[in-house]
Amino acid sequence: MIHLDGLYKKYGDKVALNGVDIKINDGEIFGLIGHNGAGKSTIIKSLVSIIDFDGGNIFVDNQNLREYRDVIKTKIGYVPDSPDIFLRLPVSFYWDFIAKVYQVSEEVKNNRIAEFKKIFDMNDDDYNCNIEELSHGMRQKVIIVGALISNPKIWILDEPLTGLDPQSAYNLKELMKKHAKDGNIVLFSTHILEVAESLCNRICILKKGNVLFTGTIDELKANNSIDNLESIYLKMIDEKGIQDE
Amino acid sequence: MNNKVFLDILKIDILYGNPNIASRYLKNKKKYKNIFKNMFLNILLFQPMLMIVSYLLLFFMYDLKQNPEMFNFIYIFFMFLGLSSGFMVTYNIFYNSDDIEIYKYLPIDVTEILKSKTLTILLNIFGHIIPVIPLGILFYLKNNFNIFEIIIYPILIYSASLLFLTGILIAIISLLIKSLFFKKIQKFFIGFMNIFTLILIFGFIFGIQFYSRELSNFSIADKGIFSTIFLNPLYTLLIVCLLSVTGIFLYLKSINEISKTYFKDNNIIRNITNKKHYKNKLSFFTKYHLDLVFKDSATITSALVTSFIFPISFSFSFFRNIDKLREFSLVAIINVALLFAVAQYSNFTNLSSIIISLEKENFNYIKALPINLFNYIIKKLFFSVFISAIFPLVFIFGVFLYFKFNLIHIFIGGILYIIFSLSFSIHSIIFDYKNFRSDWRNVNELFSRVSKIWQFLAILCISVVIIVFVASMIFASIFKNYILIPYFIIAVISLLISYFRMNKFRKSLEK
Repeated sequence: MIHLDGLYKKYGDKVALNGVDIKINDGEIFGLIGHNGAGKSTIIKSLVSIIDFDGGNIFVDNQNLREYRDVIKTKIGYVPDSPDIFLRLPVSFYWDFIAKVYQVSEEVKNNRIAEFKKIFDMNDDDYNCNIEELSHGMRQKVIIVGALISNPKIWILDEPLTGLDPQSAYNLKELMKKHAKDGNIVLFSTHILEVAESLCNRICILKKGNVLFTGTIDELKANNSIDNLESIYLKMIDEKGIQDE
Repeated sequence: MNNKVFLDILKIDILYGNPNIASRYLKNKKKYKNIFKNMFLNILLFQPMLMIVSYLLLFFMYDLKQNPEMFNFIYIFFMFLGLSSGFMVTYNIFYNSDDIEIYKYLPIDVTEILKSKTLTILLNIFGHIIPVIPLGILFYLKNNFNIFEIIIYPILIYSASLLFLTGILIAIISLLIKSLFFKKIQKFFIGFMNIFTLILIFGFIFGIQFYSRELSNFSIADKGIFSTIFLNPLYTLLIVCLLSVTGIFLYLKSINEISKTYFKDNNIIRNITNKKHYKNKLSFFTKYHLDLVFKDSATITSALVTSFIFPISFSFSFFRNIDKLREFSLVAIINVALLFAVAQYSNFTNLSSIIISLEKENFNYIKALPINLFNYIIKKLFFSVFISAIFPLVFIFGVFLYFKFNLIHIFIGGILYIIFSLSFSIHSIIFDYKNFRSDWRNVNELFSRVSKIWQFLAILCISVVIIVFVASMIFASIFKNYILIPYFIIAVISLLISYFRMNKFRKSLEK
């Protein structure tokens, strides 16, 4: 379980997260939804230890992130919003490196890579090069495989479907569903409401670092007279009394 | 943390710290599999061996027994060179590294990352101060030490110097990481360090010329501090211990400090300082391009600084004979101007030949905007010529005015430099457009776009200019100023060729 308890973060004078409280249960696919600058990436980056938050706490399986950072990191597989990382490394070296970091045995690593290559339709010849030589979508696949190679309990994916071809996007969504069904957590951010609607058990709508709504899509629709998620979302973003800058 | 991960982080750091070597191996698919083995061999064995042999030959001409001060001078120079160039490496690896963000979310112990980064620095300084070994060998050889001492003392001195420099560099970087003030002045400071390194190299070139000339007049010169210490075996061992212990102490103390603060957010402060950068009255084009050029020290060094070293040192060798120069002042000034222009533009990472690629993906975006692309490239051309011309023109005007040369001759020299620069830069910018690359990480990688034939022709071109320089000074007394006619004819032809090429380029863009 992930518990964000009053998470607070400031960039200079700007409040990025204003006391965010979220609980994500095992077996859930949880979606973070919001405009640009709403705080989605700040939540994700706080969770994966890229940035340090200024107030509140993060608990993963009842362990405080500040105290058990290294243990918690081993439970998380993270896909950043941009796949442009370690561009100069050969693809195979990058996967080897990640496998060693997460202490995945050679055999397991090879099996999982073979499995993912099949799922994401990755041809060996196309990937026998440096990451920088790949297209955006191909880089995204390499990073996703790297993040999942250790079969982590928690998947944290920042805009994971961006750049993927329709088949790969579909396959990733199926993987996410299966992972959650096995009792694990998938947390991801998205701008695409249809994806959230079709995939998430629960969602969190954010605006300017504040939580506007947390719950299931059905609960969201029940609270509103409109049935269309996009209209509900736009109405909520417009209505809630949080001052725009 | 297992050792395999540590080794992989080290490989990554070395890969990123040596883009030229890396891209060479990465292009060759046969060597691809053994890229790291090859890189390690190259950095640890082949390059050092080559340097040791070269410097043995170079230092052999100096009598280090008769002139121990020379040993002192060369040793101190390489220590400072190790410090200044090591600082740039340390800054790039520790302070300005893109990979920090990635390591933050991986379950890797921060101390392992820091250890790997330190080892990368050590490997870089390892190469920079390797001349200390041949220097020491010759020093002990000429002072009649036994074979064991001739081998062991230089290695001990070298190793202790390496540890000392690494400790100092890590200590400096630990102070900088904590310093808010440094974050505000880092661009200025990095520029300063580049210039300092350049001055140091000039100092060495002129200093060694001075010493070899002056010291040869004396049978025994003053002994320098290090030559005195290193002649005594006991003192040598003591200073080796002192340097090593100081280096290790500084390293341990500083690395502990760094590990506490290393993963803190620095980006926010950087963003704030960057915003201040734009509060001036320059146009967007100029601000944007100034930022492209000056945001990265490697770009400054590669595009601007390195091509000045040769013309300055070569010109200065002529200044010994200042009366002869003054007699044929116009020939001398125009030769210096031509040498600057040729040296600058035969460097394939000169500013005009990278000014489009510097924009990376932005340029593709700009191509899609409703602006006149040719005019945009022309603006880039003038910007790059202007920035590149500042130092040569300051040098030409400053030095020749100081030596009281004719002002009109200096102006003619300046104008001819601009004509040559402009005509050469047109070819450079067209080359960059036709070979545009957006996927580079270090500007030195852009050099790899140039074929071996062009690289050879560039060296040939510089050689021809040197021959012309020397020959014209010899024949100037016979042909007087008529000798300058070919220079002006070449300048006009060069400008006309460049103009027609630019026109053709414009038409190809308009198609």
